[in-house]
Amino acid sequence: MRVRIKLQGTLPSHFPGRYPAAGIEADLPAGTTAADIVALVGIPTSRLGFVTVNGRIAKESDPIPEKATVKLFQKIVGG
Amino acid sequence: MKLIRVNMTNPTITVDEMPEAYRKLGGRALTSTLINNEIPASSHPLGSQNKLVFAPGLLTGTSLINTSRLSVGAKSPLTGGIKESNVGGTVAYALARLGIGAVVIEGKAPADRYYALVIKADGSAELIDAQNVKGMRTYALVEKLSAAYGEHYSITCIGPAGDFQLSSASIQTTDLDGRPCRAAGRGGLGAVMGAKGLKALIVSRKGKTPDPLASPEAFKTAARAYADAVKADEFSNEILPQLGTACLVEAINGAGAFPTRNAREGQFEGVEKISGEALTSLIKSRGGKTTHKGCAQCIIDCSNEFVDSKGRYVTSSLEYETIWSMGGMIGNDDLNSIARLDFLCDDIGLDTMNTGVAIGVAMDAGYCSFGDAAAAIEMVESVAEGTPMGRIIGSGPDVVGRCFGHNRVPTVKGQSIAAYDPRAIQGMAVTYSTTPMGADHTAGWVVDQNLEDFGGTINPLGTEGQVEASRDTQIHMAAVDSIGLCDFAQTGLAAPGGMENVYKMVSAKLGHPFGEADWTDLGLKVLKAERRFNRNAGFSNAADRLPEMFYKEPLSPHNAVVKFSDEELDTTFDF
Repeated sequence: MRVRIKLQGTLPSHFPGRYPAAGIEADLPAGTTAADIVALVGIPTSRLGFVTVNGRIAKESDPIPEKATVKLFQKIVGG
Repeated sequence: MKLIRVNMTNPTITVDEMPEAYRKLGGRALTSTLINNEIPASSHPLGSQNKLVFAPGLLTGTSLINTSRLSVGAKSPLTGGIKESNVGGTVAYALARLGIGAVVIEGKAPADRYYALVIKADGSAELIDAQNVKGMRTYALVEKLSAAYGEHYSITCIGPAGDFQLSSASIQTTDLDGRPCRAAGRGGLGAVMGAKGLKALIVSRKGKTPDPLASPEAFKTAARAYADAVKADEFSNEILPQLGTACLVEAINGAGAFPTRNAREGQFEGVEKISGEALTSLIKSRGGKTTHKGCAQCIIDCSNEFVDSKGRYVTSSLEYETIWSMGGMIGNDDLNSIARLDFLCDDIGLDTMNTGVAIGVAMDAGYCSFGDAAAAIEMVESVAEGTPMGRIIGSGPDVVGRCFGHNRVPTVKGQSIAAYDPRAIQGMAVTYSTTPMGADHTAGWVVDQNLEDFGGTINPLGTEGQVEASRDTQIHMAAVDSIGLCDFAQTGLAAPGGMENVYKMVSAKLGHPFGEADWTDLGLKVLKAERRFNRNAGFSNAADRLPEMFYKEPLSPHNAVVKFSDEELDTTFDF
């Protein structure tokens, strides 16, 4: 299935040339989960904030639907 | 440590040693304790009995990084309760380097008098006539005062909104470039300053007599370790310098918690046009600054300098909350007009959040269409002109709602929510409802706990754990605001040994042991003083509630409403 993967914040700079600002299109097997995509990209979970799938926060085990947009975010601090 | 009292009624200034009751306090602890002790809770916020207090944090003026925070306190004309509004820039460091723990503005100048307060490098203070600059916008005012006094003065001032004593009026203060672009925005304290008859506070940055440390070497060791931790953190050392606080735009929108079109939706379809990534790209393409130092002692540089297509300065710093209030909240996806609105608010002296939400309420009520940036600019400009509509907008969302007969007004205690919809991050419902400040995000920001660790250690759409998270964070933040630490340098607290470093520094400053229990006790004392003042001002538990819209209107995309019962909210302050 076709999925769009987009890295937010400064994450793209950690993968030079691999994840442009607009994201990439990837072919993935059916049943791929949010955690599988994090592992595929190679972001240590200690540096990961959260993942959204089609604009909703995903849990690790959530399956990714066909043509989904998956965004990976860093941890946030603030106020 | 000095305490300066300025009586505006019969212009007199006294400079005394800090009284014992306030001697070991700083920042919010000092402002809130003094307000609770000295201001009659029933007094009118714009009357002579109210007092306006400027207090640097307890650790401001030391070698600790990112402690140039000033607490400004008074009874708020916006909420009717106690207020601490927190701001960076250069003034807190300047006051602390002069050994000044607080400046208290008392009384009220006669109607035909207007003043500026000048504090020189030797610590002497003087009121000068400022009648001729009443009504002047802040950028022009600062240019005039800087020409007269030189660039080594920090200037804290009000614009026309404060002169008109409007409830959304901010107090603006200069950054390291001498621009009045840093705002003590919340709570309408600019109106209190205007009511006192004080246009500006002009403070020498050449002070060399800070309050001494009890144990300088111990302080230095802990301060270095703290700075190393902030430097080592990805958020404070990489994300903030590159994207600024605008990094939150996509993240909060992704969580469905980005209040859009007066909080009718939780996600904005134009988010990618106003995101931190888009902002950074636009600024870079125009030759502006995406990494910029706004505050003294800062090593994070989260500020930015937004320029137009010809490279000319528009505003600094364009922050997340303003991108929301002048962007998604009013349906506007144009960064150029958002930047213009940010500048106008700084120049006129207005809280960008309360003003953006006021505009959103007006749009929701049918005054003009969502997304009409030109109308938004016109509304903000009208505040400076003092037109009837300008006075309505400048008085905040509640007044707009009343004048337009509109019931969708996202405020608590009269103050607008910030850029986190409480239906999609339920913990923010607790903080907005219960903080003594009105709907204030910094009082108890629990967003990280709701979103971290792959979907949150707390379910953002559920109630479990949210009251406890908000309570603990509110206690912690009351202490953070008291020592004068920047929110974004809290990454140093999260590092191993981070809290212990802070305890060591407070101990090294005060000269007695200070630990975890003392930290909690400090936060609790501040909150208790604030709650006591509000109770005496007439607030009951019924004031600790969100408006009906958050309970009745499901928010897309999660179709969530606030789920807390009144009884659950009332357990937040169980002390």
